[in-house]
Amino acid sequence: MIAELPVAELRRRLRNEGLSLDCGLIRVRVRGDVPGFAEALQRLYGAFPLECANVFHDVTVRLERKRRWRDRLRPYVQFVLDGDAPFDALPAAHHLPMFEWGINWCVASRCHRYLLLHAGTVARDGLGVLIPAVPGTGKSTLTAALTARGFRLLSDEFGVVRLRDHRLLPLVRPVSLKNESIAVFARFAPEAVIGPTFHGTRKGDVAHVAPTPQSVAARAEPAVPALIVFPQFRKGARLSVEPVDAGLAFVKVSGNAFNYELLGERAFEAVARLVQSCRCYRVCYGELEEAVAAVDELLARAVQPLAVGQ
Amino acid sequence: MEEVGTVPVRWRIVLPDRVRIVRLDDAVIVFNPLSWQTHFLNEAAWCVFDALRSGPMTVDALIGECVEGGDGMTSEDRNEWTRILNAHLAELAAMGLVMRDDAVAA
Repeated sequence: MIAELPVAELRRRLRNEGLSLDCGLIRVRVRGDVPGFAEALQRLYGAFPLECANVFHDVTVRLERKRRWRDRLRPYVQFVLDGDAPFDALPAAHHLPMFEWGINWCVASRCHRYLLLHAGTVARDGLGVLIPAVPGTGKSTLTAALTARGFRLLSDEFGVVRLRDHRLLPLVRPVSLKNESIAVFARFAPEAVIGPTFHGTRKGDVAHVAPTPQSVAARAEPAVPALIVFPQFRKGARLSVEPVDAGLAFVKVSGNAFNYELLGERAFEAVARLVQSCRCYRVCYGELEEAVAAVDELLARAVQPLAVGQ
Repeated sequence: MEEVGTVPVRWRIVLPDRVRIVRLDDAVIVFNPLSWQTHFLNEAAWCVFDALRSGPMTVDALIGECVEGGDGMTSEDRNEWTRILNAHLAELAAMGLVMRDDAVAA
């Protein structure tokens, strides 16, 4: 496991052949020598196996240190993807958020063999829960909370739907939490492995939750979609759970996809199958524990999983 | 009734074999294979579209299919329903889902 690697060896690998991360859907090769990056990577990807570097990688990235005259030589980090730098550099201290955002961008712009939803995805007993949402609705916090209570993490950011059988595929990576939700989650799950907090990023303060070893071990196992939860966090709100009819769910899910228009008819069919095969609910919550219990119960009620090959 | 020469205009679905339709509870959602756009049809638009799935029709024929008691209505009611159905057909045509049948020959 990556956690067992001496940090000096991890730094050496990151400077040379790179570190291979098998996230399930994609395998990433990462290189970089930004101070602090190796330690953060080890904390958050510690449960991932040490992979041989001489295998195919879907994405090869490098985090390069940059110094710019106009910024009085403040150190910056540049995300380099297959030799290109698709983004502006960020302050070097934001190395890990930049790496995670960069990988998100790679997935959203390349993985068009799948329907990609902007959604958290977890599973229990092979049944998948999709949590599609716009930013600020508590998607990541709820995803992390469910994972901390025994659900398997498939992804914090992407609901990946395989088009041939409409199963949900894992893309196991750390869950990104922002601002107040960092402390909320730390109180909710003190045993969870949380990485360093990166202050003052373009999304505010950001910290990441490491995927559980159970989630990493099952990163090649798809899940059958059974439940769609549209979350809405409101501070102090009492829990409310309302069914969402399938037509509205279609609108919300299709509007939430990164590549619906690109995939055309296949996306139409996939979204239709998803909302037909899942129970769909709007869950408004103010307390994480209540929301987790509600999702737990809703999944137990969802008894109509999508049959393979139908 | 609108006519081309002496023949009443008929309407048809643009690609009847390739258009994709899914019914979800009360909603009807249609995928247009030409534009790759997805459309929601309300009950009235769906009634018109569904009737055209059996083949090209005039507005008079659509009234017979979609309006209860359409065969025995007064001319005033028929004119009103003709106006309503023409409006729905214009909307469906704007979505690229239906077209005037004479447009094929043109």
